[in-house]
Amino acid sequence: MKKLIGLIVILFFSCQKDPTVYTPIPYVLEIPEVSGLKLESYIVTDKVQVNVKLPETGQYRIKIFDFTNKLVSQELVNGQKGDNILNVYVNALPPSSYTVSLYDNNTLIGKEFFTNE
Amino acid sequence: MKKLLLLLLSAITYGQDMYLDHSFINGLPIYVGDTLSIKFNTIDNNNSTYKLLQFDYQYNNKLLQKIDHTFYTDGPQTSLNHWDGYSFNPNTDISLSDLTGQYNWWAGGAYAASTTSYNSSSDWSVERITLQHTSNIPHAETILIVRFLLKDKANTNYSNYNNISKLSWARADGNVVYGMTNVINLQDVKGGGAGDVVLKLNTQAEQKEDYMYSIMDKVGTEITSGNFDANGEAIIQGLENDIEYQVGVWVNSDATWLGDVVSLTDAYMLFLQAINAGENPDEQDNIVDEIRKVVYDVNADGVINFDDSYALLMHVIGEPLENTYITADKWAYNISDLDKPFKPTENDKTFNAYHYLAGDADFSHSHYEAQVAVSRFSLAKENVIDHDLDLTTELVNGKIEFVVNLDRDDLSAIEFITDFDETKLEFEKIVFDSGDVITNYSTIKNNSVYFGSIEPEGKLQIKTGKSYKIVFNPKVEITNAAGLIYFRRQEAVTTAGQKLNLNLK
Repeated sequence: MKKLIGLIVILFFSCQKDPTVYTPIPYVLEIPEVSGLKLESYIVTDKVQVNVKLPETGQYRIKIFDFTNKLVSQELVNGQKGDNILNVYVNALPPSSYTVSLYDNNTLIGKEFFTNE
Repeated sequence: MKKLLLLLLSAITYGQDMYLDHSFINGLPIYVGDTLSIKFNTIDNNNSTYKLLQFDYQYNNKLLQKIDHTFYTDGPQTSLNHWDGYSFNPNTDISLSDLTGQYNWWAGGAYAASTTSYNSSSDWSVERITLQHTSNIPHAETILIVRFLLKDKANTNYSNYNNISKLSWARADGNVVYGMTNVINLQDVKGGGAGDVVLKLNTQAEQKEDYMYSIMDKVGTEITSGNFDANGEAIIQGLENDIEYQVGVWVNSDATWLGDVVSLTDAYMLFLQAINAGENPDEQDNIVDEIRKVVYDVNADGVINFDDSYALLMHVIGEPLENTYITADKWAYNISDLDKPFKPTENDKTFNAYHYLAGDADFSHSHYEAQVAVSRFSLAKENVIDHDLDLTTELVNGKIEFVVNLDRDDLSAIEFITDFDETKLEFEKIVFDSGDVITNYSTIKNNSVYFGSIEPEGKLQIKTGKSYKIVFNPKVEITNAAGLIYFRRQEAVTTAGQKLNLNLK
């Protein structure tokens, strides 16, 4: 009975949202802060989804560092304010542990670690 | 009363003394494992004669192992008694070379009254020799030769071969007998266990644990082998002193960094060397130059010239020539040398090994000596400078663009190796904007792009700005480019020859 009430409440609030601004962010990629970076998984094969949550619309850099903190891959991204669901591709990276970081100019916004298998 | 009589006897016979000689007859040097022969004979000093000779000597059984003994007398009756585990305790108030004095002390009282005249001592063996004859026994003729095996002191408490055999006492009728060579010291013993021998590896390569050594005898049979530790040291055991060995040092072919040894800097250096030296190799006759000739002469034709620099360049761009000797991934051409012959001795057990890799013209992974830098080969690595470089990857109009933004205007050679995800990208083109007279190169090999520029005359510089752009076509639908391009290597060298590590920012 409790579950049924909860479901009705969720449906009610969902119906109240404007469907044009609703962004289907998977639960694991939700970022409560105004900006940041979050990975779908920390053990990666082929590619992994990443939420790049930006404070403002603009150009940012996604940087990938190896375990010695050497920059081994970098992308310039033009993102919208808020959540941006992108991918990090790992086939070109030798199997190892890496850090993926989000930078606004030289300011670090967020980072996560992952292992490439 | 007995002492008084003995003193009187000594005084009476004082003028008729003789010597007992006790010495080894081997030539020098003597090696551990040799047979050491000790000869005994008498020497007359003052018209002495004797029909009876009796003496004790003792030898260090930790250093000498008795083989046999032989009397060389013709006529006298001889006897040799042997006791292991004893050592004569002489009277220190009497000269040790006064063998008769020691005998008189021992026979006159110490023998009967004291148990300390021969102490228990596991390191010593005592032998008592007796000769007696009905007529005078001649002087200066060999009485006895005792043969010993010279043992290795490595496993004993002894640090040398001094005092290995000594006369204890002697009597010869009424003569006063002096020891001629009372104590035998072996000063020049060679060989024997060398204990811990240290081999130090000298190279600029950081991963010293990837290096191995092999110790061989003169004919090349391996004695032992092993790895250096992370500090570049190897403690080697099982070697012998005073034996010269051959030493080989090499990099394990599984070392992951071998592919990084030879880069565009090396090729650029060789181009400059070829310009400077023409067809003739450097003629300085020091060991570094000899090594350098081997390191630089990658086609092994005996000269350092443009053929070598071209071979290195082709190697760098991923199109290696045949019949060249250039260190590459999974393949090291090792060159090693020592600071001195590898011949451990008692006082010298530390050696330096210098290691080089063929083609490593900037000595980035080889031993480096300052004298190289002050010679014409001034490009050898001394201090590598870090420089920040901007490389970006971007999804532009459905294509992936990889761009090098060069901001340094004094570069004459630059090299990049980038890998790409070939399951999602295919190479389309590379656009050079590095200057009109600069030689550019690019090679696609599997999922790697080798590209860069070199100005082999060493006079012009690579143009700054967006000097290189590589365009890839996506093979599948992609949302962005993160991780699709992997920056494997980027390196540059200035016109003046300064090597730069390009740190990406």
